[in-house]
Amino acid sequence: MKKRIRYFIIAALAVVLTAALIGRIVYVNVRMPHTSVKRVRQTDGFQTDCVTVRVHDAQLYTKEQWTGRTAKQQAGQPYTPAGNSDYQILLVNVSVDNKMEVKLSGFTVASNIFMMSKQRASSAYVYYIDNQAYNERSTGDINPGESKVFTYVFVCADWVTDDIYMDYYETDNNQRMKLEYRRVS
Amino acid sequence: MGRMLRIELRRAFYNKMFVLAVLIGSIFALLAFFGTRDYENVLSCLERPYNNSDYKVTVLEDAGTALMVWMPNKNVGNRYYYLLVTALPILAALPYGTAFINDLHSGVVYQFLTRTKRRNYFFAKLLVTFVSGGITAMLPLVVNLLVCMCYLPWGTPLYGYLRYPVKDNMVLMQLYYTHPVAYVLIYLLYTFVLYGLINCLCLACVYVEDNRIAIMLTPFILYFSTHVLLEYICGSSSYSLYGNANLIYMHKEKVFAVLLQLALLAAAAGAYLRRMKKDVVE
Repeated sequence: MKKRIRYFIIAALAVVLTAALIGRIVYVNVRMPHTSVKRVRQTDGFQTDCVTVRVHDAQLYTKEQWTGRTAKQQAGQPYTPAGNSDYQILLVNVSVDNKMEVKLSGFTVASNIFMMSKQRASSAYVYYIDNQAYNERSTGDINPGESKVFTYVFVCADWVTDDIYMDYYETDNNQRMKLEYRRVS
Repeated sequence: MGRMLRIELRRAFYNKMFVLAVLIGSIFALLAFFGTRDYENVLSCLERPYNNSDYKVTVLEDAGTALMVWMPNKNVGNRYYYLLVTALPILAALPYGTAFINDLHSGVVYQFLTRTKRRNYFFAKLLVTFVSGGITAMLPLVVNLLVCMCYLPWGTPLYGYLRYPVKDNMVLMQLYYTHPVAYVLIYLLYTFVLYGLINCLCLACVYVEDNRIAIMLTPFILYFSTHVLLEYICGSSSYSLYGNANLIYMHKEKVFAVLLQLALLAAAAGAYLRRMKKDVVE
């Protein structure tokens, strides 16, 4: 009888712990932003990866908060992306060796989509690599519908301008964006 | 054979030493996450949006995946992982490494041999030693991954994010960035095979050693001394099994050396089976 009770307690503990573990993992995966890559082979022979990043609700500014932040900056606070990150990284690509043609879709952007080099990604400033040489300029913008060829791509949406913030906030309430790229042979 | 295997598997996994080995491994696995900056970083990711509305956007910069903080990703940078990888041959040998010498000392081996074929007994011993070593080594990695998954979501690693260590010249790099689940499974399989074979050294050395502690320590001594000797003889220890225990940091040019060493380990394990042809088990 004692043995049976002991087994029952161990089994109950195991079930509770497993349920808690699975529950926590599911919760984290539902709540936190994460990426998913869907690979599609197109009819023209190119391979397209659709990278989707879900943005956490709580990570979006409300208009009031944004206004407050802009006022702070105007009051003389330096714009330091590395420390305070005024831009939001939405997704990063998976490029390894090949160059890619990048096309953005799924939400409306103004001109502030930047390419960031993998070497400088941690510095959190806007860089991009164009034909193997990165440039410390924010001229790597691509507009909706445009495409460019890059070696490494690190896509960030800049939230400094109200335009993007408003566009994104108002037009894409399900908080998803899509990056399509295809490898250039 | 099946019945013999069941008996030996039960002996390997229903014993206090297995629980102890898994417990020690799990403590290392938990410390590798909670005892390092990873936990603080993840916590700051989780808490910042609610504590400081000014920096809500910042959080996405750190939006990594569970794989990012998995302990093998940090390699020697994570002291607990480093200690674990160093001690794994001993941990793997704890539950079942000395089972054969125990059987010899207690005379149980003759009880088995009168009731089953010699081949069954020896094969079962070898197989269970392999499985026991592999599983004991693999479990801490699984525990650590599960803990990481409790704090960060699963997702596809992104090459440009810099937080992932797998670079162009490393083994299975494409798979890492495209099919992380498959990569993790292969990683665990590699760990299983590596430490399973290392654990089989306990059987191979049973005919030259008679002391249980010495037998338990032999795989570790060989594992570590090869690493040190390679450093002295070849000038680089990066080809040793110890240096390549972490698949994530294995360079492509080292694959042949690692496979060769695994083949040698398999041959050493096979040498143990030669003894079953002898009339007297000693």
